[in-house]
Amino acid sequence: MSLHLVSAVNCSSLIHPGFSLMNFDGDVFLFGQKGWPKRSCPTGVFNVRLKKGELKLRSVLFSNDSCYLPPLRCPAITHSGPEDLESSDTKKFLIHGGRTPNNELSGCLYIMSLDSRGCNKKVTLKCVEKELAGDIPEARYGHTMSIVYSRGKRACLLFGGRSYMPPGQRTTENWNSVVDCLPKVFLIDLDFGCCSSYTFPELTDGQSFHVSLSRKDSVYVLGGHTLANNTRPARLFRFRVELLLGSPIVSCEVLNTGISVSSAIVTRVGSSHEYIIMGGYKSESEKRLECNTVLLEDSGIHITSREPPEWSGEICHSKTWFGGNMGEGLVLIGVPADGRHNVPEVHYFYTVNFRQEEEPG
Amino acid sequence: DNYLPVNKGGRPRQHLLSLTRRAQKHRLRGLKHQVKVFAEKEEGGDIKSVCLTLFLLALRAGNEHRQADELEAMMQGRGYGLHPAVCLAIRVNTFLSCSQYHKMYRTVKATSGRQIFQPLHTLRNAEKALLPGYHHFEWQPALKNVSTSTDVGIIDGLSGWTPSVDDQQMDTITRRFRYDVALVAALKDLEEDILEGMKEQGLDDSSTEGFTVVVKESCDGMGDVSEKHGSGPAVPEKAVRFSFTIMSILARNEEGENVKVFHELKPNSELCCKPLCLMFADESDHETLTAILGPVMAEREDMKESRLILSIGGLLRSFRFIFRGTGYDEKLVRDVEGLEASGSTYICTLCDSTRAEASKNKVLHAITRSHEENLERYEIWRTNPYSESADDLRDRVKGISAKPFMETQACIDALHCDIGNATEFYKIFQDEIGEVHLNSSPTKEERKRWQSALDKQLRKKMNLKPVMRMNGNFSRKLMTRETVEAVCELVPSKERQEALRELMHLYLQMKPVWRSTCPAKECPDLLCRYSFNSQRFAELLSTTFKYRYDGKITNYLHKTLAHVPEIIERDGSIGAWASEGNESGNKLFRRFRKMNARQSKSYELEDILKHHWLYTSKYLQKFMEAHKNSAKALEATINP
Ligand SMILES: [Zn+2]
Repeated sequence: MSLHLVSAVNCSSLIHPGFSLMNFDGDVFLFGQKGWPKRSCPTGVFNVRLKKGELKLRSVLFSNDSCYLPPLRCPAITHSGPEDLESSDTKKFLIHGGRTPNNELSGCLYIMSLDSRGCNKKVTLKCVEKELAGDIPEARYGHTMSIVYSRGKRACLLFGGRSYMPPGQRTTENWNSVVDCLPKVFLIDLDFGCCSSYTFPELTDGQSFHVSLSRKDSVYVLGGHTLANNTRPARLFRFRVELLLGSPIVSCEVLNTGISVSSAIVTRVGSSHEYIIMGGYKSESEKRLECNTVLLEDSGIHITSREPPEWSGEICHSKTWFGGNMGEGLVLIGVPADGRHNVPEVHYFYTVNFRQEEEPG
Repeated sequence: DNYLPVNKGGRPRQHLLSLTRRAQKHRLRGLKHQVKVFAEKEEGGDIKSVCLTLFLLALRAGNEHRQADELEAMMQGRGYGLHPAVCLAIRVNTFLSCSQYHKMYRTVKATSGRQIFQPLHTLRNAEKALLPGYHHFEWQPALKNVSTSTDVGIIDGLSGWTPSVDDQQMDTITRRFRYDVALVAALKDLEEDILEGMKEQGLDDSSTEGFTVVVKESCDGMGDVSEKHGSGPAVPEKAVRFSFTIMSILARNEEGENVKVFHELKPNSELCCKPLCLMFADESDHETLTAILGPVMAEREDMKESRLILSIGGLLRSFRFIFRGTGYDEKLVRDVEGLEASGSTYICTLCDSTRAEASKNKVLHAITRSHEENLERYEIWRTNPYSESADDLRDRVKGISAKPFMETQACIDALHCDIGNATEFYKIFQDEIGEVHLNSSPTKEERKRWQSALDKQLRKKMNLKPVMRMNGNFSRKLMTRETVEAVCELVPSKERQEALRELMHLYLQMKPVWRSTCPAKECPDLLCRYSFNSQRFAELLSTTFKYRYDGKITNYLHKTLAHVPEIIERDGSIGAWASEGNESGNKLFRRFRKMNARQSKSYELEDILKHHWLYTSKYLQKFMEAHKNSAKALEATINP
């Protein structure tokens, strides 16, 4: 486990809070750039390169049968594919919701996959929009999606998030106010895009910026922030899905072993369902500097605390931080560089390496 | 007011001053008769003088000398105090802070013994009626996304954005008026002008329907506005200002025609460019810009579909609004309309032409772009319905790859056109000095030498000092016959000197057409010859100056050559719709900030917004005009 300072070369203004990372076979891609895509990278998706302590972004092309999604901040993003062990499908990233650079909220579902690898390691991605039907989740951000498997079928479970005030209540004077979405669980059929929603008496408050982890038919929702009372309750839910023909069944179980954290970053280590949770916030004024190991087993979830890396001064003293999972135990984090004079960069960037064998980022 | 009863023969009766005028008349009728008799006999019938003198003597006898002085001053026609609106106008126009004004008020009162200036609280009452939020109004139908309260003053432009560590932080401070409330205040400020205009146009005073207000919108980022003071969060040292100008008000006459009842004669003056929204933000920070201007645009879109019901001249009248966003530079237009940045092959914000096409065909282009189409094109870009490559898709949508969020009017911004073209001439001058037509690949050093030769000559002959970035003043001085003569002294070939002279000559014939507020009146001949002149100008670029314009042309030269006649035909003017008022407003922003504002980041924007608004009040400007001399005298006392 180690922390490394990396310098972002000519790209620090593109990376800002709310970005997402996708890892396709070891290639890491950044999505959710600041502003609208420029001519130099019309897709807004970049290949992230880390070399000798330098972070470089390379523009990525889309295949001809792709659509061009807007950069989205804080979308729900998850992947399906071989890493889930249960699936033999090729790896795909699902992106739902998020804030556009115009501060509109998206309600679209996009599916991103690897299209081809050209010479010089130039990767082409494919992006398609999945039409949704039925009980469609409203446009939102700060929510999560997870893939669940049951009876040889799979579906996508969506939960939480924030949205603008409902129509009739949103006026230009509270235009940018956000509220928790209703605490409904949505199931999305990935073949036909059919959505259905479920409510549970156990879920009284909406929440966002939580962690969701899934294994087989279960999704664990951990931590998060509730806007209504501005709390980060140490909550843990387990949703279990049975994909019966026609009408799936979703059940909800409240576990009392949660942790209080919002906006945490999750990375998977090893080949089993072992995850590390790091970063995020304990409260509005306190970052969460501790780390946890989470193990998902058939029987349930085990959360243990784990020694954090030795944080640098900048990290310790900053009010906010943000980042994403580069995959295989490697995490990219950013810290605002404001309050310092003569610093041309907007953010400082670090990598945290949780891999078993230590190798400098 | 409690006037104690007085006694008349042991019987109490009401105090004289507590009576109605009619009762007072009744009670004093005997005295009045006697005074009249006296005045006619002794003072040539001047009852007023007799009464005033009597009053003055009574005051002096009661040792009330201050009041007596004021009365005396009034009798001598000197007046004993300024109208509160005059005091407010003076305060705003001379950039006095509250404390500075109060100090002056006290000094004048102490030294003269008279209250010439009104106390601050009187000014505050006067300004309340001028600031947005004072007058009641209604929309029919009610605005969809706007709250129904009308007494809304300065609001936080973040519009409910709650900072949270999980969400994106908003590193900005912003204050604004609600757009509809501000428009109401602006219309009420023009109340007298509207009523006068109706009279002039022979309109029935009681007509209440069919008023149309045409509004120019402008927005501009200001560079460095760093100030050393202030507490509060670290905010960008840059500011963005969104303003509007009421260009004209039309009313329907009995024949059903629209006639102008108000027409802004100086549409580029900072005196009529009203601030709506101020923010400390970088204009290229799209997320911040859209978060703050998004609700402003929502207000505007709602107002387009509705009618304002407002009392003007004591009658409720119905107004509809036409908004025309023309006061933006090209950079901002491209950003808010979803078009690629200025260096793009899609060189024009008005037509779909590419740089290569525009250089081949320099004059014949029609305006084709519009906000609606930009929105449609973005949706095509997003969905890629024909499964095209990025290049083909880009060609299909003509460079629209971001979602537009603000409607602008396809137009030429005369000010920036001026500046952009001057920049180009400055480069042509260098090329001609270096005879680039003979040597197509000069080195950097050579270019530097030509530039310094040009700068030296401009300084010597035109007294023009080099500037870091082209501005309005420099461009005005650069684009003259004198300048081209000075440059020709450095151009070796006689033939090329002639070409350069002709190029400038043509340009100077074209410029008034897009600069003037009403070209059909101000320069009808030049307007007629515009197409001919631009054709000849284009010919010169394609022949003599081919080395510069083979396959390329600058954005503003293209607009100047290809789009001017069409816009003039459509709007009657290009110059009137320029962004100069807003640019001059930037200077006011700096002045208000320095002299007026409380020294705190969160309060100063409120103060700037308020004072800038008052500065643009036509009502106050009229008082100011009438009391120019008092203002001058005042300034002399303050800054001797
Ligand atoms: Zn054009």
